[in-house]
Amino acid sequence: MRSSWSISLLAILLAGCVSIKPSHLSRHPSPVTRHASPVTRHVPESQLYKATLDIKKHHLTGLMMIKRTDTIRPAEPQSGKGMTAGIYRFVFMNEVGMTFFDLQLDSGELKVISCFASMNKKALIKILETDFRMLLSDISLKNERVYIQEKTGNIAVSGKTGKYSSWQTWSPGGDTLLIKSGKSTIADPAIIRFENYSEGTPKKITIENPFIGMKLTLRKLAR
Amino acid sequence: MQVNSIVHLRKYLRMVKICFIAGTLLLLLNSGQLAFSQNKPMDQASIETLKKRVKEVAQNTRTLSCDFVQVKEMSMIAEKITSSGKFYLKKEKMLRWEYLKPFSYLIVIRNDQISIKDDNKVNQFNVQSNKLFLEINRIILGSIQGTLLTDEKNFRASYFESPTAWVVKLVTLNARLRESLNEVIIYFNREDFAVGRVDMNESGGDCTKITFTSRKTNQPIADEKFLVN
Repeated sequence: MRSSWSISLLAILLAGCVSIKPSHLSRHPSPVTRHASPVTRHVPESQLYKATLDIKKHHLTGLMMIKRTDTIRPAEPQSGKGMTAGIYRFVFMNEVGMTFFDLQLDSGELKVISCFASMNKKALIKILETDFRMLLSDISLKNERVYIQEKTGNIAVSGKTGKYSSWQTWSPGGDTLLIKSGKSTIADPAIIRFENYSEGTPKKITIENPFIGMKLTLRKLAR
Repeated sequence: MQVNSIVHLRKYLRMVKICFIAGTLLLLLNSGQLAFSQNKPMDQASIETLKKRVKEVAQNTRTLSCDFVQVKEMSMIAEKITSSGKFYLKKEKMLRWEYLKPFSYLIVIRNDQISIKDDNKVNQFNVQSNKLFLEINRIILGSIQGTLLTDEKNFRASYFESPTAWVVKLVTLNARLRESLNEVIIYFNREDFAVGRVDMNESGGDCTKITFTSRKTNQPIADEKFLVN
């Protein structure tokens, strides 16, 4: 009993060490201009992705549809839990068409439209909520601090977006968003990588949650 | 008196407007159900004939190849996801289910071994070890081979006819399967009793419709077609 408590405590302490902060940073002497871009530059209003979801030993593959569904557009950015402007649906299904989960995200609560029974766990849904809120979050942060990554020359920006502490890593020119990360608790750190840009949108997006060992990879499909 | 009449008229017009909007909404929401309900229930003799003919077609089919188009409809999203590919079947227990557009994905089932090729990565496992694939395999193969019609343990069948098809509606009885899949609707061609379309209606309101075309039966298909490299 005592040893199981020790293991739990160790797990919590280790989990607290999951960092979303980029490494090797030094404060930038002067303000850096990033090329402001709307959220839809990184995630289009309607896009189909080939998706793989790995959670520990489980490996799921299929398609992910991300679609903005609101027709009356609120002013951007909209305040709320994660600075999510608009209403978005995230539908993950296997190749044969069966839905794994269908989630609706806006500035309020996350709504589960449908979810496979084995995945419909509160903790997992909360983690997915953080992942998707961070994915859609606006690039402007509250209380911004700007750093330079010594080895790469990349620009790192820290601040708050909604309830999340957030970091962004930009290319040295400040024109390409490479990584977004954020967390609200020790259990929901999300690290999102944007790769293979084409016409202003990334062809590949990787979302990782190191706390539970989850990795969601999205590859943009031509339609 | 005149003021009262105008007020009543306004109330009446508002009621008519509300009824019209509600009616239109109901009609839109139930249009799929409405289209299905236009099918006429089959009599017992026709049901027995259908079962017999479907069984004969399945028994006489040694090989089958066809194209398929899969359309996924999501609740409250007008946009549909369309994918397409090729389907091959060879007796006994060999199946190749190949998606070509808008992504490349291959499922091959040979005896009870499943091979999946996704982004040039091949995964192999036993069909019995993956419950989801076991169910999908049973539903798709069972629809095409007609065995789902007699699976009374898992489905309750009701039979209908339309001008173009014999329609079998299979309501899921298995509690675990029902969590994700509400019903399967199989459309058999009226002329040759071959499966023309399979609709899978999910419990969450989503629907996947798979239409089979360019069907070729009993043409030679090499065993190599059911190998994954």
